[in-house]
Amino acid sequence: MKLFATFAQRAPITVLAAMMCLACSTIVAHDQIPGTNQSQTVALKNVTVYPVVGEVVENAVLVFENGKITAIGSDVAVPAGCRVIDGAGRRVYPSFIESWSYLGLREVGSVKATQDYEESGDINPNLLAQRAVNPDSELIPVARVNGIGLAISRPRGLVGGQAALMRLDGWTYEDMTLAAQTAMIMSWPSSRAAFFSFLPQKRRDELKKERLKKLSDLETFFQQARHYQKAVAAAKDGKATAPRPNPRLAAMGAVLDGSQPVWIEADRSDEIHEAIDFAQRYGLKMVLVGGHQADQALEQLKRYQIPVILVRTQDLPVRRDEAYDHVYRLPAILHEAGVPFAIAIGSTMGNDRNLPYQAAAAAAYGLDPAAALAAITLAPAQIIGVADRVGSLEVGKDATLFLCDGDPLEITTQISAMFIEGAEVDLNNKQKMLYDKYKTRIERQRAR
Amino acid sequence: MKNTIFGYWFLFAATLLSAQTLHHTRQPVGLQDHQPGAYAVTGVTVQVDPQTEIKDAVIVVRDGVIEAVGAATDVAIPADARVIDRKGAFVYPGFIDLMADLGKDGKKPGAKAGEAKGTAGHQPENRARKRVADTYTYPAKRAKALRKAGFTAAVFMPSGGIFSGTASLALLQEGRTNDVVLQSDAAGVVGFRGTVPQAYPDSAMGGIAMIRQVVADARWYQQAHSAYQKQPQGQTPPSVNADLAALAPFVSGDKPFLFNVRNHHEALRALKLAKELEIESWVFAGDDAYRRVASFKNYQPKLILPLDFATKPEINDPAAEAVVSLRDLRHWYLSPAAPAALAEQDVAFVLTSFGLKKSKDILANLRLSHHRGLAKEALLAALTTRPAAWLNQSDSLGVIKPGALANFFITAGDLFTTETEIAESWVRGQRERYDAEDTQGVLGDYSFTAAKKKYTLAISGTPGKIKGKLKRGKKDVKTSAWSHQQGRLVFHINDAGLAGEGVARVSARIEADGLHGWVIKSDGSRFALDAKRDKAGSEDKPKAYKGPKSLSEPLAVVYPDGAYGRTADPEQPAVVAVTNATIWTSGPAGMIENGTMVVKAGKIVAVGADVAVPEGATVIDGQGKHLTAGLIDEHSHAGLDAVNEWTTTNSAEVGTHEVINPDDISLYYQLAGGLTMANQLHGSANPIGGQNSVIKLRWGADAEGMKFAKSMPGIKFALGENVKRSNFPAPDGYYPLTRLGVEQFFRDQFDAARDYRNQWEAYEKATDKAQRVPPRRDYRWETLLQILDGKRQIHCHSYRQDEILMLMRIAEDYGFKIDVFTHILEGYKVAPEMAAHGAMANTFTDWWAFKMEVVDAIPYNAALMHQAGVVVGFNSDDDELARRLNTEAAKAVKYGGVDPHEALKMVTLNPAKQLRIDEHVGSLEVGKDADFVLWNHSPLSMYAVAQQTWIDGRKYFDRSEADAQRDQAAAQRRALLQLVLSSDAKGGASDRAKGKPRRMMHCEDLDAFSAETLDSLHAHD
Repeated sequence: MKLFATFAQRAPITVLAAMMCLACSTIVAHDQIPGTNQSQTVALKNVTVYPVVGEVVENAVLVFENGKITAIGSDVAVPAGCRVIDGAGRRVYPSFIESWSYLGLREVGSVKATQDYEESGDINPNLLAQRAVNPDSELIPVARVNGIGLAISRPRGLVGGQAALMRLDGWTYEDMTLAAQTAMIMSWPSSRAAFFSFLPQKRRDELKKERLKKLSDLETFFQQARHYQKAVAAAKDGKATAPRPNPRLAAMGAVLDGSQPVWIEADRSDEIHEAIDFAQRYGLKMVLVGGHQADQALEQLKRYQIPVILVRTQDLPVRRDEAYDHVYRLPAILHEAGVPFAIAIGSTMGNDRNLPYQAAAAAAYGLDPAAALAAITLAPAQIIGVADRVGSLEVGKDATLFLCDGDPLEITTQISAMFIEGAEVDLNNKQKMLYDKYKTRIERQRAR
Repeated sequence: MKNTIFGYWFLFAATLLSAQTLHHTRQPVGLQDHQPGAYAVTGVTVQVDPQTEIKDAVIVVRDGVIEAVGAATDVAIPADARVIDRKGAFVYPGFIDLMADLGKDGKKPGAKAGEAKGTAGHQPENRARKRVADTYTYPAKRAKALRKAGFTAAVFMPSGGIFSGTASLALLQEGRTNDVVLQSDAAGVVGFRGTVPQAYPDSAMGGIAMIRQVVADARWYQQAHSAYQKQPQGQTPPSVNADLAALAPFVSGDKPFLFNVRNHHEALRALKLAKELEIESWVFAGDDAYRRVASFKNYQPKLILPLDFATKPEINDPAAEAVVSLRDLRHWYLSPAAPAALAEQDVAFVLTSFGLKKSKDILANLRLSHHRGLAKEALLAALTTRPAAWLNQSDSLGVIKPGALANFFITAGDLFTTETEIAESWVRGQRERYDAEDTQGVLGDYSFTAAKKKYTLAISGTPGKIKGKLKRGKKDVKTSAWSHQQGRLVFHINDAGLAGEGVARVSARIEADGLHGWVIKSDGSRFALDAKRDKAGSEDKPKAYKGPKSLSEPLAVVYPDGAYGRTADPEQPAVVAVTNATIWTSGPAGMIENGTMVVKAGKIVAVGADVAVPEGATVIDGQGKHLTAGLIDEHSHAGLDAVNEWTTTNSAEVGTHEVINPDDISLYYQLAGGLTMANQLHGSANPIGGQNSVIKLRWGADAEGMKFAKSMPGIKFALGENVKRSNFPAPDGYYPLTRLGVEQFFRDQFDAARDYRNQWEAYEKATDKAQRVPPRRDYRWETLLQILDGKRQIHCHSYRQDEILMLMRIAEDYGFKIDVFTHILEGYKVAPEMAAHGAMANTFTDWWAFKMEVVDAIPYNAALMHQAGVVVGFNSDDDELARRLNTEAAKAVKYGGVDPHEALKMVTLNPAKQLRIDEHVGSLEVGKDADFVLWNHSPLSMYAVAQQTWIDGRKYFDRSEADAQRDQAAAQRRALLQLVLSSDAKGGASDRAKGKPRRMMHCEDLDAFSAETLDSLHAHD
């Protein structure tokens, strides 16, 4: 079959053991078996290494051991007794990092029972995202096939809770958590709806009021949290009795002392400016998420050293007057202005896998391709605070990487292997299994 | 120093009841009460009609009718006439408003929705039986506001519903309804938006379909009853229906329908519908009719334009600036110029106060429209003679000539060049005066002596609003609380010299030689005040009208209005050649390296590696570039004002082709992404959805200009969770709630359509046909019959394999075919069955997991169906995705290894096949339309950016021009923003911008939404 030759040639080198139990595919648990911790040294030879930091290394050997990269270079000798994988000219990249996902917390968009990211009430800083990540989510293996090895899972809300950086492979959420409590997640109350002219004025006024109410609740909460932390400190110094329990206020310590970053989602320029003002008033370590009009706040973002996580570059302009490619161009604008940024996809259509194309769109519209690659690897690692471990291929860093047969920002490129901290990841998934199953049906019908 | 503060400004309105020779059919209770009925208004400049003005004229009124009008030298004042001298004043014919609402009074008559009693029909949105005259009560407040803006007669509309009822013409005076109503049946009012929640129809396209059906029903009603009367024997009597009966004068064309719609888009739709239905129409064109003057002109319409222009955009809040677009700013500037723009093209219109509540605003906007170019004659005609003519009242209304009703108004200054107010309103000889008369002559200069000091007092202003100035010698003395009533002057002196410690109060009568009265000082003591009138004064003249500032350069009209609009259609070069390009033909020639394509008169005439470039051709160097056919989206909701008619499970009679919004900026975005055609589908809220429309993205064209005439009629079907209402609430008793019910519903509907055909066939065959009650024409069943006859193709929203099979089996049972399954995420599971049926598939590439029925969706779907021999395409169902379908095609290469050229066909030739237009478009082959895209990379590359998009051999998009257009828009925006910021007009509630922006719609949008869903909405014009 000519049509499928391409795929056959590029068949993953992974052992497809899971293929055996096609019939047991359910949405309760996926069929991929987590990789085993690295016990044997692995050498990838005959590969081109794209380290993100530093020059591309052609004809290279990359060695990793106990989950850490030990050598990269064209003149590196393959250590004796190690497992050697011939990359046959393939490329090696650090795994992509999706920094705005619900992976593990959301299975089916319309089924509430499968969702664990939005708690009741507006203010829930004490929620910890990793605690409900379902390692058997079918969405996880689907995301991996495009090189996404790590993802931020996060709750949602005015103060939604705390995000965690998850390895996209593992038996339990504890296995999977690479970094817990990486950020406090906030969604800035949107002003957009109050301007929808298709809504009646009355409804718009209500929405405006609701928004003001949220802003004032937020202010009150942060003041209470400050007060609470003061009482905690006083108790610590033995100057007062400990404050009575309040898990919400208690969860704010790291936010208020500036050690835990606060990721604030805001798209429109007015929301962005409000959020920046707020963060400065409370001395927060802010990261702007969304940022579709971040170009309207360049001076402020630079002045306060606020990095940006641009969610979707493949999106429509906010305003009719903006250029049709305004959002595509936004990363290039930030890059030129020297504002650190990462790119995320924030998919709710099960498509975290399309993260690389968000970076590619930016490159197509003027962003330096190296910066586009960094925007989904090293830049998010830096913003999340894990750049010492992931985000680039350097000796001493985690062997969290993948092999592919071309530019991974191109759709037609295929990923052939992935390692997370040296453990090889099963690149099969429910969708491939269904493909194989029904390909069989079609082939049988044709044979008749 | 506020020395001229009056206690309050009171209006002095003297009403003189004129005798009215009314034809009462009963005698008064008690004594006769006839008033003398002759008046002569003298010394005035009379606007007899829009063209004619008579200076120093006399108007003679007798018994509510004009007896004579002419120059003072020509008209004898009757001996019995009361003379009203208004020297220097102006008189205009009373204005007529064809679209008045009753205000709060309108809520009284049977406004309760759906309340159907007696022989009323049972459709909540058809209230044609309601007639304003039948329940009319004088709307005192509204009428007065209108009179004070010059109106003397108005057509009052019923409100609500698609068929709101009958509007009636009434004089704007209090009296017996029998006397003030001039026409009970002035117009049948219709609109496109229903007002009853849950009732059919909910969408604008449903409104249009309902009007079409009801007009047919009303005509059938007449025919059915007349047939039955001719031959009652052996026939079931047709039912009696007050709503259908009430429509008789309007469906026969004797009287007009008044289309109470919202904006120019809807107005154009109304005109198209009126033409199709052969009905007379008056169409409200909204405040944005300037946007498509030429489109209006084609219909030679009777338009009603509002004086309610766009209000100043609210931009003081910088947050608002982010949502105020150039289009909004232009709208603010251009909407007052709309009447002038239409007048210039000889489009007939009248003006209405509709939407404005205050007389002052009406007059201010009337002047503003004059200021923005509408000539006085045209303006007057639009308020007087033209509405009179449309009402067949030319002899009695809208003019000041003998025999006409004495309906006119008087102003102190010229109506257009000064800010004059209405001083008097006359309605059928009944005079109402709003200004104050200076009977005693209060205005003037006075002097008096008090406490041995000399004082001078100057009183100026108008008798209704005096301004006083008191001086001791040359020094100002503080005064306040000036008032003047019935010859008595009152004011306060806040001055120690006269009042002592506090305030002195002055009260004086105005007499021929001056003021005579007294002053009460703060200590209670009083002294006489006798002031001599040194000089009589005259009233202040009304202020000259200046009007707001204008831009130094006029704003060019662009299509569509706003940023990225164009001034004209792109030109079509006689010959175009694209040379040296990598050509993806999507045809049998496959890929051609270094190829050349030649286009003549919008058609491809040559494609190949060895094609010569004709002399004189416009040459596009394709070196290093890729050339493909224009992309085609089989599933789009862009450019539509409505998507779902969800109130009924079968809405086959509605169609998106009736609600195309060519101004949707998404169409431009998509054009910039290489899309040249879109299939605008109805949504998936019901099993049998509405009809579709296939458009070319001819950015700038109007709705009709975008339609692709050669496309096959189609309809949307839907299966699964949406139609069984799994993810949103269903009304009580909703059917179907299961896929089992969905199957039965389809079968039932097709059986019903066949039954309908049988009825017609029996009727057509009957020997006594002329006496038979005919079957009712039903557009819903007729649409289904088109499907059964293979004349209308189906695009069926589908996900699961069982429902796909089920629908194909139904089609096979009824002898038709399902042409296209759209979305079809489990198509790969039954691809062989689809191939056998002949069904094609247009799918999402990789969406999944957003609901239960898509958990088995796989991106290999396309490859598998393709392998099984199904014609496969990729669709967007999303305004954003639609601008990058080329890279969606790349996913067929990635997932399943489809050959790249075959993959690109999935967004070019294959959707063309699916729409049955592949004879004309979809590939770069000789004879086809020159719809093509030039890319800087392989179209399957993520780095590909469309450089040029051509449709019909015209370049509709050029990336190299896009930045310049953006900058141009920004410059115009800055100029308008400055004009807004410097304008002292009050800012408006911005929801009055009736050029309705829309939100992005997916097929699951119900056009109704909750606050929770707001976050997921995209809003753009």
